[in-house]
Amino acid sequence: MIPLHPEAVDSRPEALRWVMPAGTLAFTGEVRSAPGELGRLAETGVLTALTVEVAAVTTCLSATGSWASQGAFVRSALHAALGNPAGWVPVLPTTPGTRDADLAACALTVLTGRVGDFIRSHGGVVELVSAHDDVVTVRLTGSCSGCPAVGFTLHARVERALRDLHPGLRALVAV
Amino acid sequence: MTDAAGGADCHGGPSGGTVVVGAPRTALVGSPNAGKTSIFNALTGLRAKTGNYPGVTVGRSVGVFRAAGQDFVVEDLPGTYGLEPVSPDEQIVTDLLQGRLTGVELPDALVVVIDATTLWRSLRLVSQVLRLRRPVCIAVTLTDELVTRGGRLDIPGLERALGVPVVRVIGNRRVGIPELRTKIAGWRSWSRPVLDPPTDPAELEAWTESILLASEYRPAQPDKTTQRIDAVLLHPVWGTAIFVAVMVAFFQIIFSFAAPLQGLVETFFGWLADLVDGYVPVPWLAGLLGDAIIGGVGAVVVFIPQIMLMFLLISLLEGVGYMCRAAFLMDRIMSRAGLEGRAFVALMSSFACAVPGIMATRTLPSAKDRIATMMGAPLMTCSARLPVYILLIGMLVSPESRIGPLQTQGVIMFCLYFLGAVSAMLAAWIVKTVQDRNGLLMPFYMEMPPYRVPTLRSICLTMWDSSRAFLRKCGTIVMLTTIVLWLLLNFPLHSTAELTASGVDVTDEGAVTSFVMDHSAAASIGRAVEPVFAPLGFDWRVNIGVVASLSARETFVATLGQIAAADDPDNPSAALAAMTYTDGAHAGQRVFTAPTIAALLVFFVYALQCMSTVSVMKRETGTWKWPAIAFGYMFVLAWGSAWVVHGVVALATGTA
Repeated sequence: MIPLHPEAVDSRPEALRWVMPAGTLAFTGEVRSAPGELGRLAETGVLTALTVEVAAVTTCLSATGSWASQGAFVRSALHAALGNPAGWVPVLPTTPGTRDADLAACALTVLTGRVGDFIRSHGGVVELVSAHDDVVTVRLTGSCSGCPAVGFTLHARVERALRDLHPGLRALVAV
Repeated sequence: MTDAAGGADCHGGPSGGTVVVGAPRTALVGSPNAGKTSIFNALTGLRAKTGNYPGVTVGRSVGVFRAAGQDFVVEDLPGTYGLEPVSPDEQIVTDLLQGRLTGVELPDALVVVIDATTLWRSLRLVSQVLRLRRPVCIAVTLTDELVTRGGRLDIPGLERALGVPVVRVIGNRRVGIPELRTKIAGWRSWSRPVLDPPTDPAELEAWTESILLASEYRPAQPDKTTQRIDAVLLHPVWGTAIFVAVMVAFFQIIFSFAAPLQGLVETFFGWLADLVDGYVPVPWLAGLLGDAIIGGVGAVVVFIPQIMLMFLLISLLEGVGYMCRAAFLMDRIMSRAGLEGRAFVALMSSFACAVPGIMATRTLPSAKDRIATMMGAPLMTCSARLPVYILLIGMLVSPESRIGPLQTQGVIMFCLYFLGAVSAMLAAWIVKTVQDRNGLLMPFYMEMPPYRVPTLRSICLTMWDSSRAFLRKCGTIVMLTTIVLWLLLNFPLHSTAELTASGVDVTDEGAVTSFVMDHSAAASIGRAVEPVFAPLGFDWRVNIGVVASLSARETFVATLGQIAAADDPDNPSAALAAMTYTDGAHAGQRVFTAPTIAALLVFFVYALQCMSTVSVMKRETGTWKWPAIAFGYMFVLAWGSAWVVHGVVALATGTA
């Protein structure tokens, strides 16, 4: 079974974000159809939206439902559906050029997430310059400029988190 | 079920007084050894009330702390690994948390205490508590140890993944306690998870794994030092040898270090006795104070240095982490006998006192194992036997006597403890075999914490708690029995004419005392039971001591002390050693010969002379049957082995 747990989404009580390992599903974005019971829940309107992120799936419940009563059912359906990743169909078809876009999405997830929070909490500024051919380039400014720990932060925190999401990463470069 | 608004009638506001009624109640839930109790102590500053849960004798401690101008009640629940109860202890926790325990209010908020080094297992308990849909906060302990052992845990990550507040606390170093207080004060605004954790085992495992991933958990590496030490200490041969060596050293220390301190306490009581002699004009009051209280109870209290030293050593061994290794070593032997490790833990607690030992059998899932363990527990050498042993051993061999490099007194003491432990296990095994021939051994889970340097504070606290219990016992049951005995020893009163008629010189105080005692009510009782104990070499005065010690073992020392103090107030111990038979076939011979002392020692190893143990046994088993059986078999065993020992020692020493 895929490890997953639900997290609330800020100020959106109807949404629930199911956190799971990155790359569980081969695409990101809106889901057109999902396999099994989960697909039926989406078709019958119990779930109003299904969105795949790099390391999560967000489900939205119809206004009449409640997570306390229907959450357990949705979880079992999600577990079953994740057992059949080929049965998931995205709204936007996957094109060959999306590998760079996926890498960029992963990089943004890291830089806006907890690792980015850590850098910002120390007065640093980090931004994505490019993501191409499994190489990510970032720019570090703010208090990061001239900081002797910048190499450590980059490799121990940013690169590690990024490699978790995108195991094919070849290099992380700072400019 | 209720939500945050439920059970909230505490809008009384901060009105100066300590209105504990209606104050919000928080319960600490957690597995044994997770650090619940040190958090509880740190939160409440030891202002705790202890008692029992209604109807059962599971220990309950409730304390209060103040935060934000309001009182908060904290309750330390018994340790539990989960809410699917297998033992009576866990049943209480489960019932209480589900509001099914009559007489105990459902807590308003729950703090789950989890050990960061065993997070995987702890999350199972967390998932069960979260399913109760009460306000929950997590306190993570031992993060310092996790980090030293190369692990890591992201607290904010854990907090977000679980959807409830998480606080890092290190109870005994007081880290995170103010934060936890503030958190508890704001229990109404704790975030709650949107969805209960799953119940399906596979889904639960996926949930747990995901939580651990989200909190970037890296488990602690096995502690290298601990592993290396354990390779020796848990070795079947070396480990056992070291265990024996530790125990031998233990009793050597008790004998050699406590003696000077004991001298000081003795001097103090001597000074008190002089005061009474000099300043109390009423003879009967002087007798009561001097003979009964100072001579009797004082004779027991002088052993406080030994008691304190013993508890100091025990809490040191426990704090360092050696005790559970010893339990592990013993478990190998025990399981061969068909007894489970939890039984040994209960027997270990009986080292201090059989009462907590018997209560500790509540962790045993099988009722038959519980009974078997209870039948053995009173044979473990409890601290009440210590004064008796020290007194008798002191009369048997001199402190200068040595066997090789070791003090003989300490060696004898070690043998007595060893005899008690072996007998306890044998007894438990026999009861188990008779009662439950083909019972299955339940799996047993015992944590081996890494070796730690215990804090001075926790050691002193444990030592103080146990010593206080000893002193309290001296002040209550021992004092009461001693006063009753004093009355029995001094009544009926005799007129001067009567004394003269019997040929007593009324001006000789000693002669009068002896006469009064010889013809007292107590003497009649002592003589009445003489036929029973005569084969063991006991005279009527020893008999009174033995009969009185049925209430509590220390009373034996108090009784002899009282009799000796009446004989020779200045030097009671010499009077005791020189005590002779007053009448009968042995008149004029010394009472405390080697065979008699040896018989007394063995008698005390086996006899169930403790009313508290009997009543706890009754309470825990629900019938008088088991305490009656225990009392009966132990008395027979005590008498039989004392008789054998008396004969053997008499033969060996040539004092028939």
